[in-house]
Amino acid sequence: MIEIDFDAIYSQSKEQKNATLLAQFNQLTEFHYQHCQLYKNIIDTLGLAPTNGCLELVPFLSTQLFKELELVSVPKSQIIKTLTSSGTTSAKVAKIYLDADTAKLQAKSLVKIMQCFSGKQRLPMLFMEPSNLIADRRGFSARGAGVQGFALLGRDHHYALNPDMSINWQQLEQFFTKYQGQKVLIFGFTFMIWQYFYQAVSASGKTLPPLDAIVFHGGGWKKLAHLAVGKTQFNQAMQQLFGKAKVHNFYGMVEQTGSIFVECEHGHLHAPNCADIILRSEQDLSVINDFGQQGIIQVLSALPHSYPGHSILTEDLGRILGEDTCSCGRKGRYFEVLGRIKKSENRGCSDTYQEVSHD
Amino acid sequence: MTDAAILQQVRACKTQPILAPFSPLIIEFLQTLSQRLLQQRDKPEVMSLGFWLRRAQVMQMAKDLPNNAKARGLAFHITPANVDTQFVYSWALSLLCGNLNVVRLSQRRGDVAFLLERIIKETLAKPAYQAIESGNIFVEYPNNSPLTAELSSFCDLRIIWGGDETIKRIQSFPIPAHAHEVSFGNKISGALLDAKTILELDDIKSLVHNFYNDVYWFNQQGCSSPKLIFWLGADDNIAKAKVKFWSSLNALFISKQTSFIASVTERYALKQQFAAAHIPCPDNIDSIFLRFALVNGVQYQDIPRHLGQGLFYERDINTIDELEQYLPAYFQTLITNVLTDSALTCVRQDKAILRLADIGQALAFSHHWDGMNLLEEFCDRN
Repeated sequence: MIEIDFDAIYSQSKEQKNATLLAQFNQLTEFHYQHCQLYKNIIDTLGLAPTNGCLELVPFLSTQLFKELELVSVPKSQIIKTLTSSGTTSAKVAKIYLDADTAKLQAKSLVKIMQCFSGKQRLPMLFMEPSNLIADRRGFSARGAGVQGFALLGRDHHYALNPDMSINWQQLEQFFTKYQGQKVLIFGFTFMIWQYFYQAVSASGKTLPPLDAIVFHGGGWKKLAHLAVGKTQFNQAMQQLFGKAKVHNFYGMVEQTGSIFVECEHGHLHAPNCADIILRSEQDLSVINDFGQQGIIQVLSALPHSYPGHSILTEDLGRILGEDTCSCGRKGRYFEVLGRIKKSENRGCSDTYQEVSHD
Repeated sequence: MTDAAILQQVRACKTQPILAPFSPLIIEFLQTLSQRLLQQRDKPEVMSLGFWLRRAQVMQMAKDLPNNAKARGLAFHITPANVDTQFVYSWALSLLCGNLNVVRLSQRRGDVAFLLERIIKETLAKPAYQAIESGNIFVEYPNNSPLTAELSSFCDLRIIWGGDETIKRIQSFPIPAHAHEVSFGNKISGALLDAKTILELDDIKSLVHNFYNDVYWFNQQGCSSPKLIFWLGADDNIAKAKVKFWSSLNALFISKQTSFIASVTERYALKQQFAAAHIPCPDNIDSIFLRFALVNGVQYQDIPRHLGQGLFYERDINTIDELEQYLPAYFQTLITNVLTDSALTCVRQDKAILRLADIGQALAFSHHWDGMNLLEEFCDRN
């Protein structure tokens, strides 16, 4: 098991971080190579090596593979939880197999990263979710897992929505009145906050007492881009809603729960010590070394032990803005996400009736 | 248009007079349409369609019309997204049979389909064809609309193009007891290439050019686009023929400055999926095409779904007898350079192959399709 120092989240500058991560990633790749037959087949067949001289050479799996194959590196009996992606457009869902150690590492990592932004004190917390999201145990969706993980950060949890996604005014008014003017945590998926909360509250004409809110939101802009809502507009809406709001976007995925990338005070997403990002060319997946250039995001996380998800090629486009130099003082790479890669139209003959999607 | 408006239009269409199969007016109309289409010289798939609709070709087809044929009534076509010209073939054949037609166009159709729709509507609008215009309508509506059920409930012929899933879903909406249905399920197509013949070719250009036309159009996503490649011959000949063939094809793409529309992340995922099953790929992610060798006991149903976009799943066979065991159950078109081999005819008689075609003719549509004479299917008998 890899030792991860969670006391300092953004402390390592380039050389130190690269050395630490490379050792961890060689160890992880070797572990998955030994314990996941399908992963070994891929490495061997593609002529890759489990041990490498730099981070860019660490093999990376396509996110799609978690939808197509059962990728697991521990005996099935040790799996305590299976996370599934929400899978809104594709019929297939990703399956992520967690053992106790990996689940513990992910939970711990998430809390430690978020505390860098919310402080160590557990604040009252409002979720932009229906209260039955966690109670509904049919499966651990990415959303459910997200809420569960973030819940550890706060106390006195309230849920802003009813199961039909309408506003739960009773819960909402109770929370706003009880904590008027006080520091609180707000958590939600970007699209949910906008569509089901901000728009509904605005339309109701009601005014809520002001709070001193820290807003964490993630899950992509693609649905909002469709509505032509940008970051500035979103942040302004949050000020309007909560009175005072510090807004932090985050970037993460079900394949790498825990090691999320959070936006700092300057609007930059930061890689914590236990994670990193690499950009790859949209033509041939070669490494893009120049900062500022757009590429496909590869994410690295030292947390996945029970499944070979430590190095993944996403379908997101991004741009690295710098390394160790953000004026917020955090070390490591910082970047922005620019959206989804354009997928080819798969118009097979079986697709006559496929749902038309705006994603 | 609202659902109610579409429904009203189709109901009005159903009351129009029905013409006899291959009526002079219909043939003349298609000839006029053909002339319009043949002006689209930069679009080979539209040109092919134009040739197919010419009077001479149509008269040739008339020979396959069954005796005592008459129109069925109102035909409801559900047409695919993958091949932009397909809706016209389906509709024109049914029109030739004298039917009234309502054609549901896919919302994911490409530019060429929009172009064809416009040309057809303009031709229909000519005063001479008024009798045809009111009996032929083209509609577009979302998949989840109740219109599919409504239109099914009073059509006399339902034609479903594409996909087992689609067919299953649409068949949950009943058609009248007297109505007939023709459906075209999932199909895969391929090529059988004789290695020795290829090695003996002094000039491989015309063969490769024909093959290019089979795979390049519709981004290799048609049901009859070749996807599985069978190499026939001795192992050493196959190895040499592959080098000769693929390098020529690659060179042709480069000289034409064309390429498949492909996604690098999807290709990467596919490479890894195959690798997980020990199947290597000799091509770089940004190559014009990617080849995967189906070796050992790998069967087609065990490998990733083919996405079009320039993917070739290759299988080597030493004798023709080995072919049949590797043909997927839903195999449609086999293009081949094996000229007169009685063994092939045997395979075909077993219905393992629905259609044999010369290289270069994979995408050529005919009223003999998926083992049926569509003129028989689209017509009723007196």
